Amino acid sequence: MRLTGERITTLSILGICEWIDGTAFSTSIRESIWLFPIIETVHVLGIAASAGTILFVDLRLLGIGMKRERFSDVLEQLQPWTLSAFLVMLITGSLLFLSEAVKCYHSMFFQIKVGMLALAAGNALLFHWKVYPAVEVWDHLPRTPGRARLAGALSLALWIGIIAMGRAIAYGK
Amino acid sequence: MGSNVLRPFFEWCDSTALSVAIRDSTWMFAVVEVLHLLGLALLLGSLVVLHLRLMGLGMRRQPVSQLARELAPWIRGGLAFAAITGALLFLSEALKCYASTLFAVKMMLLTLAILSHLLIFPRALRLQDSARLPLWTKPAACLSLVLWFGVGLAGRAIGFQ
Repeated sequence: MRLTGERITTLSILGICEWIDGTAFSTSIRESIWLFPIIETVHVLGIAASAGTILFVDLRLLGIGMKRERFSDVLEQLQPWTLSAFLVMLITGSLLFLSEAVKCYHSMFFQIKVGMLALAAGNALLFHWKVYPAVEVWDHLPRTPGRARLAGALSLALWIGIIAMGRAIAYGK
Repeated sequence: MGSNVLRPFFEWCDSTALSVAIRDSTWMFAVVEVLHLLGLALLLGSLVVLHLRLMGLGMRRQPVSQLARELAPWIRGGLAFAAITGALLFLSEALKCYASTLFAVKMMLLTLAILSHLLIFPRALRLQDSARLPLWTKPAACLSLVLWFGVGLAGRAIGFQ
């Protein structure tokens, strides 16, 4: 990775993406017959453990599923699996991005997906800081407070969107 | 499957109005495929939660039978949703599927996965003790989960073929 003065003229996001695409690492994933499909398959099947476990926390928040369980039981017992599966998604997702950074830069779907991911993260953090500390009050109730239901609905909608946008990136534009 | 007996059926599927409509539309296949993926998230997600419990790796504070009863509608709904969207995808390219070994592998794995589920699930509904799991649950759940993920793996591979 030698940076020569004539190659790096402006330091823009597109310039960075072009540089990423040009690295041997990126090229080797992109041009390998097996690497890209394998990484993508792990990324797709990882949805089951990441979004799948988030789904049941959301359904409990919305009072639609797991109604007989305490909310904290559902959240705390699924959380380690959600977080480790999310880490797998983050690693495989980053590898997919690195292998076609310029394509992602130009993809509207990629931009929407990243925006939705940021919103989902913000929603989860707000829930943990502002709503979850008072969980004892409603932990056993099938019907959770409005703010908890809002967090569940937002999370559900955002994750459906993230999965749909992720698939759309491969269709292009 | 290679047997020529099935070919007329696949040809008929390929020529139905629904098949032609999905194939000729620029966005219908993509939309159905995204829905199929969301069905996978629902089906595999609910199965992951159940199997974690059966393997003693998660949701241990809940009795297996209670968790199985709560997950049942989501597993059934997820399977129905994935099957309907999957059938539409299949119709739109039935002849491609006929020629695809991976499609045949996926259907065989799906059959085995459903069979294993029909063996495991009624027994899970009868498990009352939340502290100790019988000997069969861990290997059975492990095998079943491998089969379900195998279905997903083969399914994704059809697209790469």
